[in-house]
Amino acid sequence: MANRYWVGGTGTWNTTSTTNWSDTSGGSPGFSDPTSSDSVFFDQAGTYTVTMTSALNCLDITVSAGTVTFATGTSPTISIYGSMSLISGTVWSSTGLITFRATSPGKTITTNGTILGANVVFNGAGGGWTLGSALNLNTRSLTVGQGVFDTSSTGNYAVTCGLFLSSSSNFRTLELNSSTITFGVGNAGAIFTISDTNITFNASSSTFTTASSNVIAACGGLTYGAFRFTGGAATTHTITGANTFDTLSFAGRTTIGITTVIFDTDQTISTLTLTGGTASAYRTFLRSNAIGTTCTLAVTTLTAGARDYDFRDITITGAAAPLTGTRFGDAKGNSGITFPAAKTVFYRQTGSSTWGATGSGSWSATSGGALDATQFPLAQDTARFPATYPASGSTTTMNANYNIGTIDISLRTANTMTLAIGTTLPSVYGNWINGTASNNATGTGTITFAGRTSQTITSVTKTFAASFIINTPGGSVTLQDDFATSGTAFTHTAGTFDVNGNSFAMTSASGAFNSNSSNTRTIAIGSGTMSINGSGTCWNCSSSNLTVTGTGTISLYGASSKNFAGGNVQTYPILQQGGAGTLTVLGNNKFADLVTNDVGAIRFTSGTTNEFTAFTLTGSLGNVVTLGATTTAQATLKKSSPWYMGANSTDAGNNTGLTFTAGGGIDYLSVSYINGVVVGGTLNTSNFFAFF
Amino acid sequence: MIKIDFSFDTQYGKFADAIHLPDDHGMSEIEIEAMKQQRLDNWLAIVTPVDVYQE
Repeated sequence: MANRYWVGGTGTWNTTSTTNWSDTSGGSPGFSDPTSSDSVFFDQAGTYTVTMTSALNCLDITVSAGTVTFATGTSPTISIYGSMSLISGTVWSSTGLITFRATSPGKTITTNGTILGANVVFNGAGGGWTLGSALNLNTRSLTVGQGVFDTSSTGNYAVTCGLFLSSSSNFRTLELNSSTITFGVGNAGAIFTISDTNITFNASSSTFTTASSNVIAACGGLTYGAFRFTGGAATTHTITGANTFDTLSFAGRTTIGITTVIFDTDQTISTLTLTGGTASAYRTFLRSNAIGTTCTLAVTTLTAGARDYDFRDITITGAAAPLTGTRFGDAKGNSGITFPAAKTVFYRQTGSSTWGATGSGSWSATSGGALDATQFPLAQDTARFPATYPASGSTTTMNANYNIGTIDISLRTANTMTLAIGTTLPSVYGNWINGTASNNATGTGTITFAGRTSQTITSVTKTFAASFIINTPGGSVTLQDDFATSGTAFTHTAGTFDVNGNSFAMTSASGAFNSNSSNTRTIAIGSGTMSINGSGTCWNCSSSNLTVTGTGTISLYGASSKNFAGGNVQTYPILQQGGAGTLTVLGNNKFADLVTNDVGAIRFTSGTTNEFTAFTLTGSLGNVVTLGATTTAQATLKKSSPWYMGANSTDAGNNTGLTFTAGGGIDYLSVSYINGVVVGGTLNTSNFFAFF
Repeated sequence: MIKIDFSFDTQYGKFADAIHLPDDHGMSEIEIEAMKQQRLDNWLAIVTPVDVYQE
């Protein structure tokens, strides 16, 4: 163990140069670079720069005089095995990682107003570090890997950082006392991560605060003092872990829109503060992490003045239940919350404007009445467009991912208007009713139907441009008339999607219908037709908890190759090859029939078995339809009658169980790698004699 | 060295820090108070939300 004193002013601290190191204060240079056993001292007057290069080590580091700048050299890191003490005015701009590696307690970190411009890690088994002043890393990360990090029980010093992390499995203790921990400076996303494995976490008197616009706070199921989200323009915050908060607070929005707060599990909160935004269209949305999955917040006290929050799948228990505030929006699945009664509000902007607006807003309590800032449509309300507001030819722009009850544009029978979705992601909990003079064709955002009972869509021949999500656990969305969208995705996540005998059309050449979650869901086609002009896997279903009913038709009519991923469903109605692109059927499914109105090839995945109640696929003279498997291995097709493939069909080879004679309404096919099987005892015999 | 603990209550929480000075620092009370205020101002400049997102 030795001491090393920096001499000679500006220079480079690396692992080889002896130019600036002495063994005495102000002494002659030429002494070896410090090791992990050597304390370093910067005790000379004057202003100078120490450029840090390579992997440096020291025991204690003390800056006690002068104005020293620690600057970034080449790939610097420093491992400090003791304490740090910096005089006020020190500049630490070096971005190299600082790792405190002490393996014994009693170390101190005194930065004295210096902002450390580097990520800092505390990582020493048995090590213990206590702050001697506030620790400010600005945008850099603070990680406690192992050891004891203590903000001082007497000083309760503030900690400021970009990321606050302690998620190792090593034994570690965070004694955060009554300190304020500010995190998320200049950062967003996974900026707060604490795991409960092998941690002693004493923060029940601490305050955690972040102004970041997007926070994933992995709180580890631990106990916190105050946890405050102060950003007024946040997009999404996610809180994970079953945590206990003395105070959990959210700032109101200062920009128009909606902030989403997601809880992945239950929370216990002594005081919940739901601060409202600038106006009623400045909203915050508390919800669970999945529609239909409830999250319970046990709340003792709700701070007075809560307003302009939406809730979905939130149960409030505790002394604060029922939670009561102003303009609470019921986005379904809630309990223990008092919501205002559903009402109808009326759009009142005279010309083109936005759905949500500042000042007096965009809505009125009566048709043609005065603009009223309190009448922003909540998730339980009906938002109605009067016949004359906005004026004919105007556009109303959806300007945030709002939670909306029913959208009723039915009064627009003469004066045109456009409801522009843009790229927003609104959720609808009631019905969508177009008007004959409305046009909601603009905007490629996604509209989610997320109610829990019966919802409807009335299109009145207006084609949507949005994508759709049907996520209505236990509920349904029923088409009231023919529906069309040029959006690229129609995703059926939960509940019943009822075509109700109408036409359902996805007109985009890259459109896709998806129903591949594991939630309980039904596609009720009735006698309707689902037409999809997509390529790739444009029908993408999983049989898990999926019921398909109806006698209608699913038509894939894309001009490019497309896949029907049936997901092994056994109750499909008619499948139609409706376009020139090859139709490939994936899975082991059962259909009412297979038909075509074009000459596109039809292939079944080799090795799969698909069954048909009827099989009336036929080409025509000059338009022979190719039927086969995807590789040189057969696909099996079953039906209850013999496989007479038609006199004008061609055996292109490698088939079994087929006979190329007239019968069964099948003709003008070119068939290869198909194994035709007849199901049913007597018919199997017939099949046998037909080929042998 | 002497240590001067101080704290400010702000809308962003309590800011607690300490000024460490040599025994012979020679600074006046006014200068020390100015140092405290500067520490607070530096912190507030970092933690104050900046609205950068408009919908």
